[in-house]
Parts: sequence; structure tokens; C-alpha cells
Amino acid sequence: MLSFFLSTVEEQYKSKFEYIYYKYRDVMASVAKSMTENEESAEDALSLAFLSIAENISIIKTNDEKRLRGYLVTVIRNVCINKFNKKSSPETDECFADSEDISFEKIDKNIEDKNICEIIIKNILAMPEPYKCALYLRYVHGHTVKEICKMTSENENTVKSRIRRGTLLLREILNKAGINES
Amino acid sequence: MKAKSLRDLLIEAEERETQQILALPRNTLSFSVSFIRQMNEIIASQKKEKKKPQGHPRLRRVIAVIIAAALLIATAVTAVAFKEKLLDFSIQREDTHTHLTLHGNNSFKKRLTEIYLPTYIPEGFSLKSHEYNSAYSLTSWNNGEADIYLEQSVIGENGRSIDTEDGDLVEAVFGDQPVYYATKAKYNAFTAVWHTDKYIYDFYAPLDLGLEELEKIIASISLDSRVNDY
Repeated sequence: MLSFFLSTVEEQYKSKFEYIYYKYRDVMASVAKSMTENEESAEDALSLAFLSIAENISIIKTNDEKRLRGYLVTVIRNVCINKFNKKSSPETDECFADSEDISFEKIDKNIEDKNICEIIIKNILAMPEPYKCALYLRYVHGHTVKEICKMTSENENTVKSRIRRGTLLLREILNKAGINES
Repeated sequence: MKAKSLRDLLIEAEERETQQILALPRNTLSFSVSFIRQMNEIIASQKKEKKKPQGHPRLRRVIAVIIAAALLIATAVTAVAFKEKLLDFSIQREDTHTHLTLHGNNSFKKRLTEIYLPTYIPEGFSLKSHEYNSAYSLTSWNNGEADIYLEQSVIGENGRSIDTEDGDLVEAVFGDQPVYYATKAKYNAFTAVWHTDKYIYDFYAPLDLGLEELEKIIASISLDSRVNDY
């Protein structure tokens, strides 16, 4: 009985941010350092990532360590891309038909073939970072567009555009793998 | 094989990517004092938020708060084992870090009016930056490889978290000044915290300077200038 009381108390008062900060700080710092030019930029990116995490702490889930770790790596990568790799952002790509509307649900399929799954994963991994990160945040971690805007300090149009373009790329990947859109 | 949805494949892609990143040789980063300070402030503000009463708490939460209050009263004596008072800090130890909290005294004017700096800095180090405002003064020195930082803040609701993964906080007296310090060999880091009646000090320096040199720097800290021009 006492252990139940204690766990309830701990759940109530333990700082989620503090837990994330101390457990994943070094991993995130390592990612930031590998994606930025110097220690100063890496620390700036880390600082922005933790500010974003603090702002969104109520919607971050810590009950699945594997997913939490993936999420934190995605967040820091996203910050590094947005803040320090502006020039390499594919936002200006002309290859997308901006008028075309598409929904993730519409292209979602159940795929049984192991080889096709492997091809699709490899193609997802090869997608441009901003689109991939936007898709991870939206469809893996279930954040709304508004939440992603808060996390990435990007405006709603940019986030929506990245999700849409990412979804278009996913459709293209599915088509190439022989999974036709219905 | 169980059919996978597109979302399952995205989850798998993210997990693989994370694994690949984690498998790379780890890049270590020496955190600056201003970064650590910013994180400590976030941690302190998050804790404050946590303690704020909720507008419409769920029954379970209300029960948990009542239980927590009852347990806190009932275990007040036991709590001494986790929290102790040295200098005037309340100390709370966790697995990898230790929190030091200093509750401010409102009886004096909370503005930085004097700046204290060390008169001794090891050979090879030169002044890198010095900034101050009404709340704190932050000075750093660099020798081309490593930095020494000294931050002097007015006492308010001060909270500090020190990385004590490598070992417990050490209580020492440097000159006439009692301090707490901790070391982290992995980051070649020496961190010390102490306070006087008006100010709380954070000191960060490379551990490989040696304890004798580090003590010499801290012991030499004295009044450098008086300020009120902010």
C-alpha cells in the first residue's frame, strides 16, 4: 500500500523535464554536435530544443523509452535543420505541385510483403530531413500542426507544407514500390 | 508476417535512424555556464509549475495531493535523511545530480551592486568575456583550450542542479569560504557553488587544473568593483 502511495506521489511531483534533461542531454548534444559547425551552434541548438521540450512538456509521453528517445532525436535534428541548415532546406523545391491536396489516411495501406516494407523504409530514410522530421512528429508522435509549429518555431504554412510534401513523397515511394493508390 | 501500415513503417524508419545515430561515436559537448544556468532555470520553473494548484483537479490528483501532504507530515523526520542543510542550501540528492536550493531573504535590495572577481587566474588564461546586469555578473577566462567561468547572482529563489553522477558533493573551505564542489572526469569539469549573505556564486573550471589551483582561484575572489549603471 505504501509503495502505491509513494509511486502516486512521485508521479505527481517528479519533473518530467528534469528526467528528460539528465537522461538524454548527452545523446542530444552528440546529435547537435554532429549536425552543426561548432560547439557554440550545437549548444544553441540544444538550448532551443530543450526550450521547445519545456514548452511542450505536457504533451510529451515518457512511458515508452524507445519512442521518447526517437522523439528527442527527431526534435534536436529538426532544430539543427531549421536553425543551422537553412540553405540546404528543400523548401524552394519546384518539383511539388503546390495545389495538389493529399491526405496521409488516403495513401495509408496495410503492406504484408517484407521486401516491399524494406524498400519503403529505405526510401523514407532517404527523404529530405525537413519532410521526414515533419512526418515523424505528425504521424509517429501524433502531434497536431499547431504543436509542431510551437516545437519547431516555424509558421503553420511551413509545417503544413512540409507534411503535405512529405506525404506526396510517401505516395511516390508507395507507387514506385508497386503499392497503388486507390 | 503481420501486415504493416504506413505509420508502422514510419515508426520503424525513425527507430532505425535513431539507432544509427546512437551507434555513431559519441560527440561530447562541454556545456557553458550560461547553458547550465538556463537549464537550471527551466527545471526550477517546471518544478514551480508542478507545485501550482490546478483549477479543476481530477479526483485522483486531489487524493494524491492529500496523501502526499499526509506523507510529508508523517515522514518529516525521515526526510532529514534526504534533505540536509549545509551552508544555507537545502540539498536534495538524486541518482545523477544534486539540487541545491537557497531561499532568498527579501530584507535586502535584490540588485547587484558589487562585482567580485578572482585576483588569481592560472597562467595562460586571459579574460574572454565579462557581462553583468542588475541580477548577475558572468565572467569567463580562456586559455585556448578550456574555459573558467564565474557567475555571481543576487540571492532570490535560487536553485542549482549539479551533476554528481561521478560522486557526491564535496564540502570544503577554500580560503575562508565554505563551498560545495563536484567533479566530472568525463567532461574534465570542476563545478563549485557557494553563497555569501548577498550573492550566490557558480564556478566552473577544467578539472585538470588541479584542486590546489582551483582552491587558489576561489580563495582569491574579492571585491573588484561597485556597479549601479544598468
